[in-house]
Amino acid sequence: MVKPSAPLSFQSDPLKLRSVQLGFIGVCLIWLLGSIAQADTGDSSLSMPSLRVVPNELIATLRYPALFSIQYVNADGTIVDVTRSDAVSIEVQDASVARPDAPKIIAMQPGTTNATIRYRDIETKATIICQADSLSTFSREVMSVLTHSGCNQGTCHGNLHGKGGFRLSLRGDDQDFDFYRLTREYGQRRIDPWEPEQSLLLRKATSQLTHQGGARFLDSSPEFEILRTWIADGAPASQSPELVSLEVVPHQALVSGIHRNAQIAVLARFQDGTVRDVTRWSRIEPSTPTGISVDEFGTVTASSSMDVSLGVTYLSGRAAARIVFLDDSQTMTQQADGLKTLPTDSRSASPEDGSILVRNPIDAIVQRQCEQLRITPQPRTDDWTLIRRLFLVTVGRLPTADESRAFVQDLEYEKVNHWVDRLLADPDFDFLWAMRWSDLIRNEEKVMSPKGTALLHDWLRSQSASDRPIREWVAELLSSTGSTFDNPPASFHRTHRDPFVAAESSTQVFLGVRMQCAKCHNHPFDVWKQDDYYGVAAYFTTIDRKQIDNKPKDELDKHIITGDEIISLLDRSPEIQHPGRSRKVPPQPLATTRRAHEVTSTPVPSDAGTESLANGSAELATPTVLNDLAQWMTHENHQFDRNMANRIWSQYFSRGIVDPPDDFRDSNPPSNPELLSFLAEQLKRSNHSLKSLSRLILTSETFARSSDGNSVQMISLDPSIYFASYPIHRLSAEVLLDAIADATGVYSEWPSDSPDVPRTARAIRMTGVPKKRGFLTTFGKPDRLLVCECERSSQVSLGQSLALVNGKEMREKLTDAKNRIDALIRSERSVPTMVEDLFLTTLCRPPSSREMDRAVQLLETATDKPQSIEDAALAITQNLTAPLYQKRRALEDLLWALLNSKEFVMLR
Amino acid sequence: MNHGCNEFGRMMMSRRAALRVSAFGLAGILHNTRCGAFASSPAVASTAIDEDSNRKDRKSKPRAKSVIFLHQYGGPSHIDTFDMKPNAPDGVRGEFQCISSAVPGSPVCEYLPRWGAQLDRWAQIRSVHHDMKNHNPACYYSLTGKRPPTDDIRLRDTLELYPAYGSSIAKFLKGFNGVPSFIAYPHILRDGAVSPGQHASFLGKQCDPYFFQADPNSSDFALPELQLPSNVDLSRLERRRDLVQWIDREAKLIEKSAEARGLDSLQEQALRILSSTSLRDAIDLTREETSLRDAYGRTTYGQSCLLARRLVEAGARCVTVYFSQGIGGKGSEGWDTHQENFKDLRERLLPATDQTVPTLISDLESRGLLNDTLVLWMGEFGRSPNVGDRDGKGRGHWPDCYTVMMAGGGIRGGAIHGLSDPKGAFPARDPVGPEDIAATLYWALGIDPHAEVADTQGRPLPISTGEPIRSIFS
Repeated sequence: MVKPSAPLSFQSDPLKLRSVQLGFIGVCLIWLLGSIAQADTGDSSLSMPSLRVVPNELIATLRYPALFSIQYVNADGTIVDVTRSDAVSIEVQDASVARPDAPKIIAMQPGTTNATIRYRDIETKATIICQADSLSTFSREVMSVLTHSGCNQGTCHGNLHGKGGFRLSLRGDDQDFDFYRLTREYGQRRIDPWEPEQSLLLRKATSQLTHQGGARFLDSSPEFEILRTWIADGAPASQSPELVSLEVVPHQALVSGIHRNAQIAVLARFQDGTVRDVTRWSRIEPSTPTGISVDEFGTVTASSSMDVSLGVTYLSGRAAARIVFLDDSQTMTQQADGLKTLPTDSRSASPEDGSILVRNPIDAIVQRQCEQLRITPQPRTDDWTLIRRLFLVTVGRLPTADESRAFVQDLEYEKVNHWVDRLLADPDFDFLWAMRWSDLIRNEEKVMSPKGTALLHDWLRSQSASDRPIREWVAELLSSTGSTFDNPPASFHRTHRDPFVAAESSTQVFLGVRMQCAKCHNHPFDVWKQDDYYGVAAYFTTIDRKQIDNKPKDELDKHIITGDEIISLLDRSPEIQHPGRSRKVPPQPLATTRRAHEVTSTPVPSDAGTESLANGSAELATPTVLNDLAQWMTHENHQFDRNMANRIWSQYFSRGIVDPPDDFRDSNPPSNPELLSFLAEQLKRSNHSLKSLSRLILTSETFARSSDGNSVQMISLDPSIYFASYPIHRLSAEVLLDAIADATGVYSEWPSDSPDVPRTARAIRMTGVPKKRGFLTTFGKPDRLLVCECERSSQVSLGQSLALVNGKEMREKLTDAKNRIDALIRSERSVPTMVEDLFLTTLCRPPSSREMDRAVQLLETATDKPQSIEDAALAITQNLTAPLYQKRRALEDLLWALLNSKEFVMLR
Repeated sequence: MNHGCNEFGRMMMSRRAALRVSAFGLAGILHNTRCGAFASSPAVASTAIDEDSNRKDRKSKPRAKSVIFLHQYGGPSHIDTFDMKPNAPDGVRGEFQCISSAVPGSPVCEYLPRWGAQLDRWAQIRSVHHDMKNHNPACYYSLTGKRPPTDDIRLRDTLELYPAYGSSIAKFLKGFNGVPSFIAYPHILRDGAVSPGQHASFLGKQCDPYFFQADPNSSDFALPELQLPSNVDLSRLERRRDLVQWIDREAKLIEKSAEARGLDSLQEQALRILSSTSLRDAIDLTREETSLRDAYGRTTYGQSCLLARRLVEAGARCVTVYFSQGIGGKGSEGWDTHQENFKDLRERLLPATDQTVPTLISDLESRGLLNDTLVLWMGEFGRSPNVGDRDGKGRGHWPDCYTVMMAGGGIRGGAIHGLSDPKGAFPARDPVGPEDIAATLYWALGIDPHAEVADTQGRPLPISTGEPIRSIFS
């Protein structure tokens, strides 16, 4: 539906007229074909290249010059930042009011005027408002110096114990505290109002005295001047109007051109309505540490194309911006070479995909982003790879040789839909989800007992099997009480045994936000305050647990509970001691909608508020406190939907749209915001049906894309992040072990020492955590002691390689006398069919002719080899003739190689 | 649970803190419980002056290439080994006599004659202290240099806790000749539950130790996964390797996925280990002279220490040898001598130690490895100055002051850092925390002790919050 847009940005020096012409031709093309390429940032910039000044209203004072960005907006919405270009002219109408000095406007005297900005033949206007500075205050100017200079970072004086005896609140959380430390502690030794320059504070910060943190600023800097003046004035506890909101402009930008720079401005709005450009005083932290720099005037420069988020801190405010520096060089080369010029070509050229029309909205959204980012999406992968992928992500096992063949030979147009339906109805689909949820809500035997673990696992599985709305069962999980054996969902409060753990877990698992930092101090990188943390924790303060029949082997071990546990609620109003306040605080829902642009100084639960809330909770009577919790967390909670949609997506792509899936943060934005919103909306519309959202995802073209676009080269805009290429991932521990068992035909059985725990030969069906460390733990099966997705390790280690190359499981299964190889050699099948069988049962594809030749040669030369004594002995015990034994030996080697191939171990 | 930030840093006894104490004339008031006794001792003034006694030794440079970490679980008594108190009252002094050592004025226990004769190779840190009284948390503290979130007897081993020293080292330093950087054996430490601090935790599996439980002292000591099955010879292994490369060429995943590439290089390493001789030979203790094996002592500990030397020689960066699996005193396996302290030390623990550890040092020295290899000997805490625990003949747990021993890797032989008070109860000078031991270890290997690593939540955490004790290095 979208017409491919040629890259219209400047490919070289933005000043070259040729480029503009190129752009213009492109624009005409687009105009003619009626493209509606959406701009991410702009509104009306669709048809013609235009010039834009951001922000459009420039408010400057002497102390706070206004920064601006001049953007040449391409027809496709991408921009080229020309702020510092020589070709830009800025004409200020009333030169006595302000003076431009790109990228800033310097105020001369209070007043309002206009500026005309010209770039080549395009011009635009901006309003300039110059205002007088209010007095420098402690709460604004001094505090921002401390934060901006890094004095109150966690690694410096913001540390819980301070540094060198001097402690500040972390990132300026607590002004009163800092005021006391600066002006009162140790008999005022840090400041000297009579000789301000001699103040310890200044001499340390400028490194005139030995300072472990080095020189933070020079004595000629504005920082120095602000502190000096403040001290000279007698270090008053002066207050500025409170910060109301913080904003970064542009909030999002797609930057093209080879210069890869972009200008940002940080705007702070204060209670009295004033707006100041505080870029110079903000801490701006890019999401990637290398290849990007931000100077003090907010100029962001990238060394290569990249997708970067900037987290911004100013006083108590947090904001974020996302800038994508597009990769133009590549597109250019392709054009020059006369290769694919248009990203969508590959789509229409994709084989076997009967439809050129985009049927699935997911594909349209992904496609749209690819075009914006000028990424070429991968074509559809081949059927062999697709069916293997589909089986692994839905039912956690490899398709059998017959299943793979059946899929490939299926000529039905809608065959993927049929196979997806079949897999969604497979019991292992529910087992796989029960395993994932069990991991996340810490379903492990020590606290849950083997019986409790099995019961909760079974309950989780049945939620998936009946496709009960996710919202409903999560609400039940959060609000259930009673016997954990009779009512398994009550187990959530058995595995999460204190209000803090419960608060952290429930928000991380069900809302995808990490609040741990806010326990001790306001979150340094996110909007969460300590008040938010304790507000959630208070919900869990009245839970009571009674153990029935608890007989731990080790009485000292309080982490072990062997029998049933009864969860109930105490008859008192829930509240919790807030370390930063003198009183206890009542439960308070998390304002998950609070994100950048909004007030970040949360209302302190004032006395009045506390009372009304306390009254409210008294009325509601205690048993409903958990219902309240379940209600706000799951009902009409946008963040709940987004989190669940993202988790479901991440199950099928091994990568979330927000990734890691449990780290929603302004400074960790979704790689495709539109996609996430769409999926969340779909989830809600389908009444929170896991299976229908899964069906939508799995039947998309996006799911079926080849993984060939992945590369270990540092690609700046990695296509797999935008799902233009299917991400490659190692199989998880359980799936890998099951796959080895299926491939060899030899199954391990996990012994069950409890009658309540079902025995199983499939690792993905295990209800709990293996007692002994072995293959599964080596490959990262989590111990279920954290709610973090990160507990399941997908890393590779030497231990894993040794386990695959020469480990116990591998050896036993490979040499088992009754394994697949044994069946093959006794079946008297031809050599090529044996080889094909092994390829199909491991890699789920037939061997290439090259591989077939090599394998056949291996098997045919095998018989010539002389036998060793060990081999002779083995042949006798396995009752094999010498040639058969030799064949077996060769097949063992082939199977070993297949199981050790990257293709087997990876999902691709 | 978040314990990450609480203890983000540990307050050091700084010049200013000392100043505060003296300036306000409150020297007797404990400004910091951990340094409490120290603040009230007469040494305050001197410490206040040479705040950074390290600073004058700035010239010392890291020179160790590897570490052998000998960990004695249960908590060895400091008063009955190196920090003898011959002038203390009966109930503190204990039953053992002092003998003179190679370091004048630094007597050692009569049951450590060989170690004493070699004491001039060692540095003693006599003022190590912390506040964890239970084995599991104290053990975690001693294995990681990180203060545990609680002094809970069954501190749970989760990925929120800190990595073992060897894992942090492996994060920064690769092993030589394809030998794993961090190797640990022959026990999994546990006191009721598995003690935390024995693996890579949040650093990730690639920093986990290459770990085994096989007993180097048993006659059939071998590591089966390093040993090819009897019917797989090197040529068959080579054929397999060739086949796997053949198959890998088809899907080209190694070019597409960093994970696949990582797996591939580790697979190469595994195959190299299997087909090469360096690690397998190092593991093969039968290659050693019988006389040397005897000299180390035919015990699990003795042969483990011999193996440690062989592994360092082969290319490992950190070899951790656990003395025992459990704490068990009273004739059992470990150093937790609540009962029969003197009998246990005299008959079981000290003889084994005195046979093995000095042999390790002289063996390293004779092979020219001592300069490159830092040897660290310690437990999770010391033992109480007052005799009389349980059966009246034991000593209880004592984290408030104990001794840590270091040799090799640039250590200035005979150095003594810190002193304990006359009863050996609290540090009297230069108190040192496990954080500082960690920092010293990293520093000696040339790793920035404050280098930051990311935990599972992406929070930046320094590998150590302590300061290296540079003064004990030459």
